[in-house]
Amino acid sequence: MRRLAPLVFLLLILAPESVLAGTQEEGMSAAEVDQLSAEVAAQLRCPVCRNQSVLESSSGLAREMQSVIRDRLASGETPEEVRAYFVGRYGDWILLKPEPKGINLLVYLLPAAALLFGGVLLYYRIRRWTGAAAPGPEASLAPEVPDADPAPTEEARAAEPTSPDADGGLSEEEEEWIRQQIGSLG
Amino acid sequence: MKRFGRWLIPILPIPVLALLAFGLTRDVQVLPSAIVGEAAPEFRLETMAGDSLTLAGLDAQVVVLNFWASWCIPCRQEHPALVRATEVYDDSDVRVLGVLYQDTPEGAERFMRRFGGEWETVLDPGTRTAIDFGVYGVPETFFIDSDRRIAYKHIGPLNWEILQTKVDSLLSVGGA
Amino acid sequence: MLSTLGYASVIAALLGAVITTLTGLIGGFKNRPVLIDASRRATYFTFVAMTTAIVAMEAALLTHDFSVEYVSRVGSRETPSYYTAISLWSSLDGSILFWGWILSGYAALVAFVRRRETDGLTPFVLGTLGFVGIFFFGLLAGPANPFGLIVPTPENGPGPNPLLQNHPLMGLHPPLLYLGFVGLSVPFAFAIGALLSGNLEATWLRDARRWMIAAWAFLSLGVIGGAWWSYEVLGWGGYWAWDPVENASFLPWLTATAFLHSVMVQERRGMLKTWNLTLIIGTFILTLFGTFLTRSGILDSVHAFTEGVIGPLFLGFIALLTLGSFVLIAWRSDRLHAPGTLDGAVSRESAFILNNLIFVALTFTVLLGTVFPLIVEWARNERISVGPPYFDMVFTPLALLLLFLMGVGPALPWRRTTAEKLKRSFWLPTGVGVAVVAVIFLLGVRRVYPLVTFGFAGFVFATIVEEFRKGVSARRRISGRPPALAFLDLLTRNGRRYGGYVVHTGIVVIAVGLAISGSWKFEREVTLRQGEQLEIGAYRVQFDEIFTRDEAQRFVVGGNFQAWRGDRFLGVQQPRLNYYPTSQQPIATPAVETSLSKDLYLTLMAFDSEKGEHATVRAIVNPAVAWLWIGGLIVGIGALIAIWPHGRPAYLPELAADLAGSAPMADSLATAASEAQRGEEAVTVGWEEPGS
Repeated sequence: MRRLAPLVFLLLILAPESVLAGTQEEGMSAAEVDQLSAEVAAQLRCPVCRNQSVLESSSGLAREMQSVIRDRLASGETPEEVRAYFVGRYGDWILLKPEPKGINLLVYLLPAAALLFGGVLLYYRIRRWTGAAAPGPEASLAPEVPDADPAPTEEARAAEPTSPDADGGLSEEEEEWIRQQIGSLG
Repeated sequence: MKRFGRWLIPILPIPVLALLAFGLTRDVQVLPSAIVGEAAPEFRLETMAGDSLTLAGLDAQVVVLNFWASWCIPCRQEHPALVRATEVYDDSDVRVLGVLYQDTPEGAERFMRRFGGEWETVLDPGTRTAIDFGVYGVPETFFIDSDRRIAYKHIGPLNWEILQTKVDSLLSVGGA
Repeated sequence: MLSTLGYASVIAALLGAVITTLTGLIGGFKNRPVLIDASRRATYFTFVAMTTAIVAMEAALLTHDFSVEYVSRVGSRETPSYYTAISLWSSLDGSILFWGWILSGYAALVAFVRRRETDGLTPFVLGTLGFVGIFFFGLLAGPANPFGLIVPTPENGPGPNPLLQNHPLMGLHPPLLYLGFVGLSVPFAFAIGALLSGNLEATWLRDARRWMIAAWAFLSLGVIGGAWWSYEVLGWGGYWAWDPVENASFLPWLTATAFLHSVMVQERRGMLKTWNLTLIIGTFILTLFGTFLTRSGILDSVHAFTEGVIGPLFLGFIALLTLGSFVLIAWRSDRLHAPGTLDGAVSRESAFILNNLIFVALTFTVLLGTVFPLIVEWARNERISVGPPYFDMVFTPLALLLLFLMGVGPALPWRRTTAEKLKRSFWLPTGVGVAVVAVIFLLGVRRVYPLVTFGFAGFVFATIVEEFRKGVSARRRISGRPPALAFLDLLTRNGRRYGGYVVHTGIVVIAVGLAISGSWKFEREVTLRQGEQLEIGAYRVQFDEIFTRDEAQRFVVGGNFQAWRGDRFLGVQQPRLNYYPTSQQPIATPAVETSLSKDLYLTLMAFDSEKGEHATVRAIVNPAVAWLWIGGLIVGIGALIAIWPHGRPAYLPELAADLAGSAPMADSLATAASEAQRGEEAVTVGWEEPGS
């Protein structure tokens, strides 16, 4: 599971949005133009209010921009062309999601790199913590592990659950609680 | 994490702190324009009198395109500079043209009556021309040279010194 | 007069903080009971002084004493008293005053709760809190002095920022957030105190954890409250915009949550000591970072108040604390070294460690996205934006992983497990998760993220139910109590664990709410003539008329819209635009008709200003948003269960006695309080919730 996690993450990151959201293009009805123009507007930053998208802003300029988007889409432009038009007028600043090119790639790659680096670091560390000679983590799934496990420390032994029920779902907190109960009875 | 990271961890925040220190040295409000240096977008707009105007149809060497509105307070401040420009410069040299931004013609007329003087203003229904020029708000002024490229953009209220400097530099280039 | 009293109190608090720091640190290092005692009393004194300052400020606000410059900036005679009272935090200086007061309150509480502890930690903790206090009180005494005078005294003021006086929630959300932010300084003080004292055994950690849960709970409620405010007030139809300032409140939440999990590994295994210290310190640094963002205005944000000299000072303080803390860790590293051992790679310990990895990756990602425009500007001198589409893209998969781990962690036993046990504890939750996905898929849902969210939510929920079932049956075996009482026992006796599960339940509810509202929100914007109707989803909305209302502090234009859901009449909805004299743009107040399944959200976008014959309305159907607030409430309840003291005596009477014994300023406090009261009566109370 630990190995799978970054993989799932990467898959989700890399999956084209159309797979995830089911975007449609071409041959559009009015409703589809509305839908698509909302999607484009959500990606553009409102110039007046700074931290809202063109879709969300109630400012006059943003609402005119929305109608520009709708007109351009209805006249057959693709969403990319519409975005490019606005970038040409307002610069990259207007895109709420930076184009993945040049230095902007960092904002996409660094999180994945950090996760990967941390994951690898942890993998080796957990391996070391579980005992240098121990095989990979999956091996501990094997039923014989409790016996094959390297000798626990004194302290760990002391904390070992003593109740026969412990394996049936009682955790150490509950264990402790039981001891307290017994103590208060006695 | 322990031995090696001991000295790594104190170092980590330093670039972030340096970055924030850099952040303090600049003004967030100043925004770039992608359009300076590019060809000015063509437009066909109606004046308040009802005549149709195009950028290509203007024969002046320099066009000063000023986006303004009657509800905009800083626009009152720059109004005298624009009026003066129409008086000082010859129409064949410099054409001062206002573009009304999210406003009604009635509002614009009231504004002109109240503050005196006049320069030509066109209406921009649907704010299309303003969006074509990448306008963030008013006032914004574009200085368009004889090749109809956007040479400068000024954000915020103009004054006579700025206007004169920019116009004269464009005129001298165009004249040479 | 009030100005003098307030300023004198601030200076007194600054003095108190200096004395606390000196006596605490010297007394701690040299182990002098006299000094240690003095540091405790100085902490109480500081609290009394700051309380006096707050009372003086409130009195000045409520009596409209415009000779005080701050009051002349945020007050006005027209503003309703409620908003006048809370305009304490509507501008920079006042909010720092408020912050400082909460800090002094936390410090006094720590001093009191630990007054009999003999572990030698208290003076260091108080000294550290005092040190943080010196910075804030120093700001108040100098560059952010809210008690400065203005000559000549103005007749009236502009009133607070329109956005901040537009909704009663402004009285709730900032205090919660501040209680959370400032509360995080307490675990920080424990961490620094432990490092300074060199006593890095478990006691400091127990206290740090407890305070962390309390601060975390306030912060969670503050973040959710902020989302609610954004939804109910800003009128843009959403609740989270990934604004830099929102991110700033979210970042410490992430690291605090990571700590609350990894601390359990340290408690059980004695490992991750350095890591946990780093998380606590990082969390506090991030709260300062967040405050810095709001106060310095270096990033575009709707929430920022910009002010010159405070920014550099804040940055200097952040740098000092960061470097100082980590030098301390390096200095004490010999005592922090603990050989890590794990019995099994598949265990709850590992799940927590993995959880920490993802939380930290998420923190890194949000931080990177927030400051990335700055990086690009530095490197390239270009301006770019990083907004919601980016954050949604990177946040969702990581958050889903965390959701998944939330189900895995509790179902894994500590130490190690066997394949047999794994099968036993996972088949049911996995089955539930798969079944949920199957049912929802059959219902026609094809989107990946919602399906995954629902599947994981089912999985997590099943493990939680299973944990409760096991706990209840174990309790019943021991005590023989009926199930309901055994369930209550779980929550009261082992509040930390089962309160934690309640918190998890709340998070699951929020996750489901986010998935639904994020995926199935839809909207229409239509211009309606009088009597015309618009249909959106199951809703019907009819425009009747435009109304206007002149209020003391603003002019209101609203629309009367009748709304139906199916055939059921929902009443007249009144989305409004509020025109404040200080704001060029109108401030919208949406009309929100909430139900458990979906909200109808109406915003007035434009109207016919001549005859009121037509109105443009944006109608949004926002499904399941109510579940975010419900989930937030469950999180709050769970956190309360987790920190509820088990059978400890109430402190309050004793605290009062202790305070009375060491409160030189009690008299002036009482005077100021009664003055504030008189002031309040003098103001005519003419406020009603508009539109009701």
